[in-house]
Amino acid sequence: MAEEKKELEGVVTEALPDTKFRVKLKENDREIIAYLSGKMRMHYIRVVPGDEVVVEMGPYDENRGRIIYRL
Amino acid sequence: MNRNFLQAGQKLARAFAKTLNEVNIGISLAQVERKALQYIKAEGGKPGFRMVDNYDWATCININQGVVHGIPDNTEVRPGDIVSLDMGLYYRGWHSDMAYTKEIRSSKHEIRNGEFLAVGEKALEKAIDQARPGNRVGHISKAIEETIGQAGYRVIPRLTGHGVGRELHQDPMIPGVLTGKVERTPKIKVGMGLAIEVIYTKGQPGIKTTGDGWTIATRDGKISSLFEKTVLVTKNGAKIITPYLF
Repeated sequence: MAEEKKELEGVVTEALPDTKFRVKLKENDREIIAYLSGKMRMHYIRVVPGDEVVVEMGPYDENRGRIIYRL
Repeated sequence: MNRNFLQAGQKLARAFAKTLNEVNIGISLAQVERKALQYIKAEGGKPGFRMVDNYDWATCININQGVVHGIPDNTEVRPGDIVSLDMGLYYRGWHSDMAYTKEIRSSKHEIRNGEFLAVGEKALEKAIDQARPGNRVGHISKAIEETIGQAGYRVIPRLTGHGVGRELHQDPMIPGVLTGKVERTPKIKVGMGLAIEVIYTKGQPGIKTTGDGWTIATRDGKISSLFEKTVLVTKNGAKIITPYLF
């Protein structure tokens, strides 16, 4: 039975250098560091603190993710 | 190396082969499910997938654009269908997990997807080869991604293989694509149980969950395929504990 990479909603709390962001996950209030996905960068989608986003959780690290959508 | 883990694998391999043999024209997925339960019980095991929260079946069966987690309903198998069977067995505290995809033949239907399916099996073999102590999960991911990609097909990145043993799903996750550097992926160690999965499609890799809340299908409706074996990592490399006995 396959595992599915989790996609979670969160709120951006801080913009960090290198197009990374601190995101607080709605599910459990945990803060993770997420980078902006290539698609979002390609379409020049701006993300700022306060934005609600969807993060694809990294398979190897619970504290890392990839912002794939801005709600 | 735990003998019960090896047994869980062997028992699943036998039950799986018998169940796969039942997947023919006219049978319903619900009937296949009943046979699977029968064969699992006959081996003295329990249906491992039923131990997943809210999943009440021993099998996941997926047809054509269905990818994984297909609930076995009253759909009947027809000639030309690409059917993936996925089963798990629990024995004395240990889980095993395996899957295979076949094209349903009939006298009137020519095999159309032989090459598509053969690539998946080959990718699984290459992936298993990489499951050696000293390697990393990224080596497995890379082997899957390259084999599938070179044949012109696409791995579905959101669905992954996984550690298996005491739990059906445990660390590490084993994606079919490599993201980032191999060195940043977890190390493969002796004693690890790994359910290595090759999940791929002829079309685009986007997936969606259908109305029943479980079945995942390709967004573009193109066919997909799934091959999976459970291996135990030994100091000499991966030992397949759920061989294809067919």
